[in-house]
Order: sequence, then C-alpha cells, then structure tokens
Amino acid sequence: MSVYPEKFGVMVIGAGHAGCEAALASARLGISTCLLTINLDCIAAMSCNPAIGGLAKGQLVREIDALGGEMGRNIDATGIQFRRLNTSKGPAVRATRAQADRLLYRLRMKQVLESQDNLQIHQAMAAGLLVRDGRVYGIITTIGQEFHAERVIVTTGTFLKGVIHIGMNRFEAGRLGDPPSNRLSQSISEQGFQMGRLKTGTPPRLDAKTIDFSVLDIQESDPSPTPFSILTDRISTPQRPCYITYTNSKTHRFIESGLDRSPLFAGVIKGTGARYCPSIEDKIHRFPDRERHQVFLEPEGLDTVEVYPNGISTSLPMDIQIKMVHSIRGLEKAQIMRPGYAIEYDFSNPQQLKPTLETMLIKGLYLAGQINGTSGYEEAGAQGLIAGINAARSLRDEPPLILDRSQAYIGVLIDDLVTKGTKEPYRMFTSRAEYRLLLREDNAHARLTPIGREIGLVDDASWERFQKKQERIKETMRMLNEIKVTPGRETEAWLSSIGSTPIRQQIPLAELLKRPEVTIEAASELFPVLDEIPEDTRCQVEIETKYQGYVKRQEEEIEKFRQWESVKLPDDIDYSSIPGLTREVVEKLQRQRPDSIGRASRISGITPAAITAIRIHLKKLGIGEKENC
Amino acid sequence: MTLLRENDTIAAIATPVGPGGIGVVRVSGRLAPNFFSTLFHPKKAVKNPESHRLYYGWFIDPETGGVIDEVLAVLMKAPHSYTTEDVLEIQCHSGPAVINRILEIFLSSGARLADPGEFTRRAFLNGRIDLTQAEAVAELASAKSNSAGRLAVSLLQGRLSEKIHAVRDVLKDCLASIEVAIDYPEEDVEILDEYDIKSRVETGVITPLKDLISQFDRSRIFRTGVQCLIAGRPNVGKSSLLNALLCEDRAIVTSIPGTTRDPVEAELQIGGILTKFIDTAGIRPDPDPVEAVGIEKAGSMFETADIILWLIDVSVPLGKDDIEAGRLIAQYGRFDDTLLVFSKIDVPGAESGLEHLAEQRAIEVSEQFPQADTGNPVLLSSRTGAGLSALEQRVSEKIMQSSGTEPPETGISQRHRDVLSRALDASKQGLSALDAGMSPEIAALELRAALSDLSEVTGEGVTEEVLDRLFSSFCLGK
Repeated sequence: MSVYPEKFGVMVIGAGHAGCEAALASARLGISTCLLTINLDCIAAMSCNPAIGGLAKGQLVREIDALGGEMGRNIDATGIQFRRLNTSKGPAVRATRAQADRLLYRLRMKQVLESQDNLQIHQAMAAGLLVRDGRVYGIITTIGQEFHAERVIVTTGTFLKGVIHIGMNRFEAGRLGDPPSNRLSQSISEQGFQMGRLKTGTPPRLDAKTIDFSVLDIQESDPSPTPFSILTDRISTPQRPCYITYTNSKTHRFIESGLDRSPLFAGVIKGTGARYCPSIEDKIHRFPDRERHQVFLEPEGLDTVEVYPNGISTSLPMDIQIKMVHSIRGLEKAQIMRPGYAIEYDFSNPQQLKPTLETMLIKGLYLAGQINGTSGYEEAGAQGLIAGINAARSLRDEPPLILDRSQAYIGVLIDDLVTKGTKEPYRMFTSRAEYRLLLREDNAHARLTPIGREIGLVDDASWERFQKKQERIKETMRMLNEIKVTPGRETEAWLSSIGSTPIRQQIPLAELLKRPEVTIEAASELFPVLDEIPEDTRCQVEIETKYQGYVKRQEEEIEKFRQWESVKLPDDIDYSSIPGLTREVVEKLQRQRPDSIGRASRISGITPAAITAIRIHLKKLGIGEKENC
Repeated sequence: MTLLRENDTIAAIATPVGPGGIGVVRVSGRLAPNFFSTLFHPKKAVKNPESHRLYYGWFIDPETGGVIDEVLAVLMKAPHSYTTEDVLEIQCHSGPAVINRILEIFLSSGARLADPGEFTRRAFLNGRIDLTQAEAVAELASAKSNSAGRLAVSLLQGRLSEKIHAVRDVLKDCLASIEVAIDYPEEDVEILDEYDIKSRVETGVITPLKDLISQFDRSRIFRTGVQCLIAGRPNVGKSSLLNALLCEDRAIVTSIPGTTRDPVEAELQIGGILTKFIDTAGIRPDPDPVEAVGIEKAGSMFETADIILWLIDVSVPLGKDDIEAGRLIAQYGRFDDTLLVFSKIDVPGAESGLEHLAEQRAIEVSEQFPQADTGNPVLLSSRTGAGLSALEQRVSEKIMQSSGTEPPETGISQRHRDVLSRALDASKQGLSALDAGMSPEIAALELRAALSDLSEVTGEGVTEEVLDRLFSSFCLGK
C-alpha cells in the first residue's frame, strides 16, 4: 500500500460530464483538486447519443454556463449541428439542441482540464472510500494506492457494477469497451448507503458509407445558430445535417421474432428503465398499433463515418439487430459498427443527499450525476458543478450554494432528487418546473451569472459580456417604446399579412407587441433596425411585453413559495418527539432531514397535517417562523 | 392559527342542549380512562373497561359523591377513536342543568374546554381523516335538519372527491398532451390536438365544475335553510301566524323572542328543509323616527328573504297600508317569490261569503300589482289553524321550485365553492389562451393552476388560509 504524497482538497472520482464540471469548479475556486479516471482517453465521453441540449436540457446547459461551468463552451466549440426547438412556441419553451463531434468534444474537454491550474488528472480505478469517524478522507485504488483528500466527489455514471446485455449475452462493463467499477460500489454500500439498480440502453452505430441518404428526409442545421455560452460569439464548426427515416411493419415483425431472446422481456434485466427513453422492442410491445417509429440518423463527428440512429435503442441479439436495421428505408445495406446494448448499473438513492449534494451518512462525501439516478449529460454536468462548488465552498468555510426551484432548473433537479428520489433514470422536463415561464434559456445568465460571479466562477470576460448583454436588453426595451407605429396603408398591409387587425392611432411598438401574433421578427419587416437584435435579447424583451401578466403572476407565486422555503428546519430536530406524526412520517423525516418546511412538504407521504404538526412544534420551541406565514 | 396544546385532555358537549333528548359529553386525551374509573360508577363493577363497549351506570359528583345522572359510558382507547387519542363519551339526559354539570365536573377534574372544532382538528392532525372529511364533519355537526344530514354524509363518503378526481383526470390528460408537445417537439407521437384539448376542457372540466357550483348554490338551501318573510300591514295577523306555526309544528328548532319592532323568528322543518319565518315590523307610511329603524331592517329582508308571505286581511278592502306593503315587494322585485296569504278567514261573516271576499281581494291586489300571482292565494286562520298545512305545502313547493326537487348528491361548502370557481376561471382562461393562439405553455399554466386548485378540496397542497378558515368554521366539540 502506498499513499500518494500530495493531499488534495477535493478528489473527484470519474471524469464524465459530472466529474469534469466538479473538478473544474473546485480547481477554479482555488482548491487543489485531483480527478481520477479509469481511462484518460475517455474523459467527457458521450456514451450514448452525441448531442447536448434539447428541451429543459438546453436550459440546464445555459445555467451551467451562467454559473461558470464548461459544458456550454465545450459544445459551442465542437457542435456540428445546432437547432433551436419549439421556435413556433413561446420563449419559455424554446431550447437549443446541438449534435457534437464526439471525438472533438472529449478532446477539447481534456485540454481544458489539462490546462486548468490546481488540477491533477490521474488514471486509476477507485476501489474503496477511506472513511474515519463518519468522515471521508480519501480513496484507495485497485492497485492499493491511497489518495487523501478533504472532500470526495463520486461521479461514476453507469460504471458501478455495470453489466451489459446483448441478447442473452451478458458481461461486466461500465460502457462498451470499458471495465466496470465493482469494488467501489461494494465500498459505498458497505458504508450503509441504500443502493438500487437502473437500466439504460443505446442503439447500434452504423457506417455512413453504407447508408443511402438520398432516399431520406434531411434536417439541416439552423442557418445562424445561437451559441450556449456567453463567451461564444458564433458557432464556427462546420455544420452537418441529420436524416430522418422510419421503422415499418417488417422491422416490427423482426423485432417480435427476437423477443424470446430479449433480456428485457426474458426478465434477465432487473434494473428499472426510463419510461421516456424506451428501447425499440419496448415501444413495439407497448404500442402495438403504431405502424412506424421515427429514427433520426445523427452524425457522430466530422471525421468519422459512425452514425447514431436515434430511436432504435435495443438489447436484442445481434442477428435481430442486423435484420431490424436492414428492414429500414435507407439502411438496407447499413453495416453495424458497434452493437446496441442495454446496461444495468448501481445507483444510490438520492434521498440520502443534502441539497448541497453532500451525503448525510458520510461527511465530506458528495455524489453527482448518474450515481444519483439521473440520466443525461446535462443533468450530470449540473450536479457535478453544484457538488464541485459546494465541496470547495465548504473547504473555504463559505455557505453552500443551494438554488431553489424558482431560480433554476438546477434547483428543480436537485430538489426533486433529494426530496422525492427516483424510481427510474431521472430526466429533466420543462413541465417539472413550476415557474417555467421564468426559467428560460434566454434569461439563464440574467438569473444566475450574478450568483456565479459572487461565488468566483464567472471570469472577467464572461462578466463583461453579461453586463453588456443586460445593457442591450434595456436599450432594446427603450427602442421598442420609442418606435411608434402609425396607422396607414403600409402598416395595415403588414398587420393583415401577419393575421392581425389594423390600429386606430399611433402606438409604441412595445404596445403592439402585446398582441400574440405580432413578434419582433415580424415587425422587422416594417422596421429593419430590429433585425440587429440578437435572438436572446429578442426573447427576453418579447416575454416581458407579451407575457407580462403571466410573468407577474409567476413572480407572485414565487414569493409565496419562498415564504415556506425560508422557514428552516434545524438539523437536530427530533421528529419522534413531535406529537401527531405517524411513525412512517417520523422515519421519513429522520432519514431525509429536509432543510426547510417547503422542502419537507414536497417529500412524498408528508401530509399537510404533518406539516402543521411540525410547525406547531417549531413554534413551541420558539424557532424561526414569522406569524404571517 | 392557534397553538395546539395537544397534551391536554379536552372536553365538550357534543350534542345540542335542549329538553327531551339524549346528550353526549365527549372527552379526548390521556385523562379519559382516568375519568371513566373515577367519575363513572357502573352498575356492575368493571376492573378493566373494554374499548368500544357501552357501560350502564351513574355519573358521580366527586365532591359530594352524589349521583348527577343515570348515564351510558363508552371508552374508546387510542388509537381506535375519532381523535386517535383515548376518548370517553358520556350519554346522559340533555337537559341543560345535567349536561352542563357533567361538563363542569370534567373541567374541574383536569380537562380543558375544547376549542371549536378541536376534536376534528386532532383527528385531522393525527392523520385520521383528510381535509374533505374534516370539513364534512363540520357541516354534519352543524347541520340542523335531516336533508342537511344526508348531504353531509354523502360528502363524507367522498362523492365530491370522486367528481373532482374525474375532473382532475381530464385536466391531467390535457396537460399531458400539451406537455408532450412542448418537451418532445420532434417526436412523432399522437397527442390530443388543440381542438381535442379545447373540447375536453369544455366538456370534462368546465361543464362539471359549473354543475358542481350550481349544486352548491342549491345545496345552500339544504344546509342553511331558507328565510321566509312574513309581510303585511300592522295588525294583519303576522305574529298570530308566527305563533300558530310555533304551536302547530312540533319540529320547532328555535324561537327567538323580539321586541315589537324587531323581527320575530321561528325555525321549522318544512319538507325536510329548515325554514326560518321572520315577522317584520309594522310597515306604514310616514314612520316616526323610532320605527324607521325597524322598517329599514325589514327593507333589507325584502331583499334577502327566499320567500315572502304577503298577508292581507280577507275581511276588509285593500287599504293604504296594504298597498304600501305591496309596494315594498314590488320595489325589490320579489313578486315571483311571494305567496299571497288571505288571513282572518274566521272573522264573523267571512265564512259564508269567503269565496266572494277572496275574489274581491284578489281583484284589488291585481289592480294595484298586476305582476302579483293572485291565482291561488292561501286562505288562513291563525286562530283556528285552518289553512296552516296548506300554507306549509305551498311554502314547500315554492322552495322546491327554486332549489330543484331533490337534495344535490354532493354537498359542497363555501370553501369548496371558492376553490371550484377559481378552478373554473383558470380553466376558462386556459381555453381562451388557446383560442387567442398563445403559446401552449400559457394554457398549461392555467390548467395546472386549475389542477392545483382542485387539489385543495381533497387536502393536497393545503395552504394556511384554508386550514385557518376550515378550523374556525367548526362548532364546539365537533
């Protein structure tokens, strides 16, 4: 046994999307940080589809960027197709999705890590946590080397006791081609953590040279994509299209013929899969009436022929995978380069976490990413960032960063995890956010950059750009109020062309924008100067004019919500001494130790009556709470 | 909200006080078993009383050792009781002297008088009942007549919850479709289109919510009863009618004596509905200043009463004062809810030519007030009681006319009504957002608000205001 000579402030186990953000945040906050990975060549690997963003996820990426994280910059630099989704809908539900060049994505992230001060990267496999008196002090690797650190962040993704299934074949792996991490999982559960098993899957990868794209629908990149990061001026990577094809009845017959050898249907897979991300065999089984399912063919990079067929994730045996692929239009001769597979892995029940992502069982130990039961790079990155920030802040004796549900999707994500836990891989949706109208991509920086700046993660360049952006919004608002629309033939023609009604007197453009059918984009026909307004600014201005009433309403709701969040529950409260609480409720509260009345009320099974009883108890103790709430 | 002193033992009289019935005094808390063994003397000695068993015996004054009353006692041990605490109930005679003395003895032996609704609050806080049930109990406890009792029971059984769950289901369906369209813009899935959503919200949310609200408006009559104003010139026989009703009907609930100028009230059950008869002060032109107060009060009652009985002396021609009374009815536009009553049919000479006299009066009334229904006046003698049952019959018909013939199946309280109408408004807003072509997340916001409003009825997402209003509306001792 040897002990690594240097003692670290923060140790991060796993260099996936959570691990990279955690390590960077910690190092950037001046903490000596060590990042451990099983394979230096697989840092920030995109194990599943080569894409970042999408609905709710795009918001997360923007939030990560606003707080000073890396994901947004990384995808901006390596994205090969950017598309803005829901452009026909309101600003709150618009989001950006980008295809990444898988190779470039991880290479760039590796470079960023390598050039980061205070950060060491080591290739090693963690085998166990080092814990003394309920506090973690480091880890031991599979070759018996100890690394000592004040804080340990575990971000192991699908690697804990990972098992891959292809047909009736199963073997241990963390990802196809990489070994699993078995001993670490053992070590974590030996510390008393309640573990569960989840399942996810991925489709076979195809060789573009063998695909007949000429018969398929093409989907191009947006002409002038909006970057994720405030630091990115424009997307300069070459852009590549995606293609769309469909399964058919023949495909479905092949799949059915292989169900007897499906590990999913034969009951071999015990882990819970996500309902929103089913395998193709599951889709066909659950929706037998559907005649076809959509398949997006996504390029995996600029310099590779590998194609990701999004929509046919499968763990069927190889002979069926081949037949299935060949039955699809355009893929008749497609060669499978890597098989599709399902993977089962251990996760730790996130209800064992504080909202800082530190575990309640072991001091100094943080968990982030898929180990907490989530799925998705963005969800992982967001958690990694928060764990990294909080590990560093606790070392600097600073209060933790806890974002609430009204501030950010990150707040929604972590609150859901720690209060409700999860039964299936957790994915972010915009509908999970109560205050969706206010949690938008366009205002992510306005919401969070000041916080990131205060924490010390937002660099001067970003801060400067942020301030300029805010100034631009103000200016635009001023401009829209100054521009007057005058009744007349030209105005009338324009209004009727966009399905609006004439105006009777001169009004400011800002006023006219309150009509649902009048957008800044449409108005630029009449006032070309509006063309200059960047999309983000346009969104923010538009939502402030068009949805004013709704925005105000949500702001009022947030005020009420915050009242309950602000009633803090002491750490040492003994729930068993509170009369009127059932044993089940007491057990839940003792275990989860919510930090506020608001959070307690969101734990499932905690009834309003229980909340009343707790509040009465608090009042008796003379703690906190003001009379009016 | 008030602080709960949940370690206390609380006591209260659980039934209305009044002569001639059985009263119940209830105790909840840890002293209850103690009281059973020290204050109650069973006929046959009991060492360890069984839970939920009725024991016969005597209630004893601990100071004198004397018997207060012959009673039945039942001990319900925690947690199998209403409050989930130890509960003792003493069934005794309901005369005020006896029942109050029993309560006093409990209070002097260590119990505290229960706050209004405190038994139910404890049941609620201890997770024994949910919010809808707690509220129904409040209504059951204060329901004064049989129909209202039925209503409260159906609410207890969750009929309202059931209906609301159905509406919530539709809302959830519609929201699911909207959300899928938002979160999966590129997915090729079949969802409800905007047209489907609109029609489902219309038929599955707005219509049932409107129905529930109108049921509430009807059920008010069953729960709180109706007000029936007795109007007419001085000395036309208003207070005689009131007295006749009081003597005639044995289902009297209360009788409140008043001065000559204040309305005098009587509550009776008519067709299972609590009906409050109110006598007005004299109505004359040029009132002196003292009388003006009474008249003003009467005026407001013309506005709020559910039914008006206009008494006219059948034996004399319509006078100036009669016409003045009629004018008041007309002024408030209440002729539709007015029953014409010809009184004093027993005066000498009237009996023989009654039909003729009635016809005369009817003609005089319709000359002055063509909008009055003179077709079928009630002929009444308060002295002999003739016509009283016909009057009750006509009042009952009038009530049913305005309320529908059957008690509504789901009883809802004012709080429910507020919530339902908020949910209704939000749903309508959601529809108009869709109609206006606004982005779907706006409609989602509204429908979600409706959904969360409805959650309040069944107790999910309960806010403090709701709890406060709920618990303050409870009557003493459940």
